[in-house]
Amino acid sequence: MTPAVVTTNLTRRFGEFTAVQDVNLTVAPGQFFGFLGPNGAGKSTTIKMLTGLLAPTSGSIQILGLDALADPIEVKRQIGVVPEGLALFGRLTAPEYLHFVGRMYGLGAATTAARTSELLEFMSLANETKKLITDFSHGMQKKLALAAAVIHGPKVLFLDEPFEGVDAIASGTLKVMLQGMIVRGATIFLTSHVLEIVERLCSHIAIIDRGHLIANGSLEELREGVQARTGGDQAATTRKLTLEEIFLNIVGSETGLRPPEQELSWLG
Amino acid sequence: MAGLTQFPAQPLEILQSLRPWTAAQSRAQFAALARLRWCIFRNAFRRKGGGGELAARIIFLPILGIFAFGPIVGAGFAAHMFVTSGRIFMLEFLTWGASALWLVVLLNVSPPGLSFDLNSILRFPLSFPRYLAARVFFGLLSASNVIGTLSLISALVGISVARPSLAPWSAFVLAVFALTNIFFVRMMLVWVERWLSTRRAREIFTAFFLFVSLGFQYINFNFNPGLQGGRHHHASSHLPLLRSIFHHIQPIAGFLPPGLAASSIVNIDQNHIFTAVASLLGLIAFTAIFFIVYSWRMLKEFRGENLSETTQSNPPAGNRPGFAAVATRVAPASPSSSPPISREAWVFGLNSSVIACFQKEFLYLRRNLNQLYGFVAPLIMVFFFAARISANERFGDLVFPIAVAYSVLGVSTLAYNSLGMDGTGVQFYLLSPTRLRDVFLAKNLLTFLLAFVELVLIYGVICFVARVPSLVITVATICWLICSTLLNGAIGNLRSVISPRKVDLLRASRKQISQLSALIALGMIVCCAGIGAGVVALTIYFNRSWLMVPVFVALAIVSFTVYLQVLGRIDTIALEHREEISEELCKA
Repeated sequence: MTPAVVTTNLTRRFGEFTAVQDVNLTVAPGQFFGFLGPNGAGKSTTIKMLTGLLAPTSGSIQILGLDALADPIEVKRQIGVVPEGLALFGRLTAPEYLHFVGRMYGLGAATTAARTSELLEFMSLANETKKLITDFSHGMQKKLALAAAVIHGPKVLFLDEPFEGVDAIASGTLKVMLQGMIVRGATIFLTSHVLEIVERLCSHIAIIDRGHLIANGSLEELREGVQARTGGDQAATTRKLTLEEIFLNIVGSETGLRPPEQELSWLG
Repeated sequence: MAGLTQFPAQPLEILQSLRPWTAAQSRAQFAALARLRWCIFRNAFRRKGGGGELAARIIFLPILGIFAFGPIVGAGFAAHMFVTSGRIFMLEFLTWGASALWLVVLLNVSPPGLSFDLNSILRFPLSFPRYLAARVFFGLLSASNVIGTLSLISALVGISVARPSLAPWSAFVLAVFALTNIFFVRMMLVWVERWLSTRRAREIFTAFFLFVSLGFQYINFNFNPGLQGGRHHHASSHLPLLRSIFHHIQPIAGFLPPGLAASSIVNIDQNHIFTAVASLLGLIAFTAIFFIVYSWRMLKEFRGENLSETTQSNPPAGNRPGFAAVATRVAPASPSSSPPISREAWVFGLNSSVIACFQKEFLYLRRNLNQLYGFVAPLIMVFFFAARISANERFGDLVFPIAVAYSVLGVSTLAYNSLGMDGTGVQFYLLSPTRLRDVFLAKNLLTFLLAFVELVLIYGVICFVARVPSLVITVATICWLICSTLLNGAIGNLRSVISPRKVDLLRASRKQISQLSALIALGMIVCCAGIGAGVVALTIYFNRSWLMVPVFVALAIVSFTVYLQVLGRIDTIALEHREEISEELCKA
């Protein structure tokens, strides 16, 4: 089966600084893929390259077997994105915006109208049809951005911090919707700093640090890897490590993080 | 609550180490702010296209200098003349002129350092007085302050040369008057920005601004002897009316800062010490009021007043539909199937993307009163003045092309930053399977449509209030309009992707287009108007008026070719600049 996302030696440099270095990544179709890393590790740069917002310095990207650099339009037809900036038009209302997005993705007027009302209802935005998007709260804008990202039924969905600023109820709504998409065969590529959510949703995880991919596999594989490394730790082998522990173990050992008590002693 | 009570207490030695804020720390904060502003200013020129921006600024500075030179030097000579000719009471005109100059420069020259908002320093440990001092201090060297202050210094030199005994008092009065103006414009700007924080207020302000602008044009047209065309007005024919207006206004104007400043100097000259001091005290009182009102606004900002338009109402709970049901409908059928494509994709030869963008642009236009006023205002002016201009033999049949050039060229600069209003929405264009070519085509189509509607309406107005333009002039004007609109569209599209600027409707003092784009737009306006005027003048001179039609047709064809070339390459150019586009338009 054709992988949903494949990157080969993906590299991006900004002058002297290398933000992403030789990242080789494969995401199988139907995976809920979590892409993690500390701040400044290269997550956003990678997701921007995958979605066409940023040109790689070298390497290649394939989405559903299509070369993202050679055939960007066809790739964009297959993917949905909730970027960092949300990509909203502030002076439209939510239905106008979804109508616009649907039409831009080539949906028919009737299909767009039907999906618009369904999505607005689903996102609890159906009562806000007169309000301009600029007047929406951040959480409402995020829900709308997600609605716009899925209106054309993408096969691969890229989400950059989708749960940031979203209340618990809306967060539950989004999770149910995303899991529903996975059941239907879509692939979701997600970045988030909320490791509990990633642990609950994602079946596969990659961790990037200082531009290098330092871990990649299913949650179980990562867990086994960490437990093998900390083999002597009896407590760790008898209970399941959380993703936070796995993350700190992997990134901490890579970056050489020191115990907090040794640092910033002036904080008290 | 056990966890809270068990939280380790603040170590005593840390509490003891908290010392009072020192003057050295305050100075360090100011130095840091100054350095920050300098770095932002400098780095703006280090970005891609920064060289062009720097060049544009270097070109603009002498132009600004030339414009400023006249009023500055003129103030000195006028002051000297008023004093030596025994008409020192006319100093009031000078002080009013200086205040007007302050405002005109303020509204027309934006400050450098576009992307730095001093509000952002609120997160640092600043007391209100230090925050206020920072707000007052950073911005003192704005163009309006520099030019306004120089004009007052020039006036002081003029007064001092004419009557040295007046120098000390005049220096003090004019220094206070400079402060009055500085605080007045500051106060005005912050309060205007406060009012502009709601869309409704922006619309009202825009309407007010339009009527003031139309009013100025009306007054200029009716009272400026240079525009009377020797028809029937002598330069002094409006003098009685102007005198009458002046006498009605003067009693009130005398109690306003420019009147008080002039009155104080005049009274000291006439040895009316008490009145001179009273006027000066009045001026100081105005300065204090402006400063207090400005500080009041600053205090509100300091306390965290949110100027966002966001209404804080929460959406009602409503009935939540079955999540799973909707989710399954939304989710894709299978990885191999494509999204359903509309069967009604092509309308009038345009694909659905162009149609969708056109609809979106139309919605934006409907909600942008600025643009609508820009469309309507020239029509009102044409309606007012077409009859008068057409009566002048010099213009005769040329009223139509003059009216069209006046109406269309003024708003053509909007095309030079056509992504500016889209803000973060521009990411959607880069993420969706849409060619930027379609987006720009839709934007341009709306511009062309507006230009066409404007042309038809102007034609109707001219026919109604003046005379029906000849066929040759009509066709030539249409061809010229096509030529200039396409050319502006082509260059505007390029500038929009190469040097976009986020349009911030909340900031009255921000420039909404890059410096270089503004310079290019100005050049294009001059170029289009010049070519049009040149062709018309030459063909009339050689008595071959009909020649202007084929010449403009040829130019329109050339412009069309250029436009198509640019449109065809816009995706490639936008791809090269996508990072700058995202960075600029998606910034907070």
